[in-house]
Amino acid sequence: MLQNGRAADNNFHSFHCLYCRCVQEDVSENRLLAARISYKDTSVNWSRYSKPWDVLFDYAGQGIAQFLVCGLPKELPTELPPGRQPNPPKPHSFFPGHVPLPHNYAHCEVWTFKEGVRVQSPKLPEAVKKEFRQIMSDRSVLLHRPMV
Amino acid sequence: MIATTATLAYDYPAEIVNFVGSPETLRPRARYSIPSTAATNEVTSASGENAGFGLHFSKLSRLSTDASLWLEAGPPSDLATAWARLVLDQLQSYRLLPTRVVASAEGGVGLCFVDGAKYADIECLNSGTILGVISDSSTRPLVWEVEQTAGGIARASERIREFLNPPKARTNATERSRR
Repeated sequence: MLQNGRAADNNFHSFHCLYCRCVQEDVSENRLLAARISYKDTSVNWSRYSKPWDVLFDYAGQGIAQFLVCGLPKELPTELPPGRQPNPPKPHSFFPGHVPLPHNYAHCEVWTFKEGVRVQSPKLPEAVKKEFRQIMSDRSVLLHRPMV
Repeated sequence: MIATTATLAYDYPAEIVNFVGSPETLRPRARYSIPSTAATNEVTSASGENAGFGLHFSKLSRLSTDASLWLEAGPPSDLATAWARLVLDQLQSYRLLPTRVVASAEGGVGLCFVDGAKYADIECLNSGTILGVISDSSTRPLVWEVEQTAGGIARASERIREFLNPPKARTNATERSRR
């Protein structure tokens, strides 16, 4: 769907879906492999302005995975490392941001937030990023199996 | 007019054809199967353990050179590949066959285990960090940093083995095999 001069929307509801495409290398037993999910600003399409198969435009043969907005990880890290720390890490949450493209109005990214403010270049510990990627994998649904 | 004829070269694709029936059958039936490993090197228990590890080691070598296997993070570094090879050696000694060896989206190599709702992996990142995770898909996943020693890799492998095959289930399987 073309942007046609429309501005970003950002009125996401918890029941809205986010779609991304995948290839065979990303999938095993109907599951998106956590090791193949990127942490930073994961690119997705928003169900409010697109159908699942729109992510396959120009990518014939690929598969479709779905996330729910309410399924995005919240309050990470869930457990703090053992031992007393002078500055324990503050919990981070993840929420979609609408980033419309001229040829794809539904395009969004999954952004990182700390205390309600977006963190542009989050410097989270590797283990926390991994927890995010694993939760995304656990809560993803494979709508269409990739053929390539 | 008789045209000149030639015998066309024809070879059975030896790797993917299994003959069914007795050899004296005039026209033996052939069962063709495209290996699931063709595109992804996905390995199942039916693949055979040694063959499975062989496929994983060869895929690990390809990850550094085959750009079609990379994501935005690019190829795994030599360091990450070397650690992944050590982990794979350790897993082989434990006879714990990963389902898949992939290039990680964060840069590095991921050795993944998928068994129904259970997922586990060991990721050797280009930064040198090695991370492990186990998840049953319904509760919070457990992530830990793997110590970069032989002992650390052995403990991570053991942890994943216990998660995928809990001791009780292993004991029952041993008892059944004795009967």
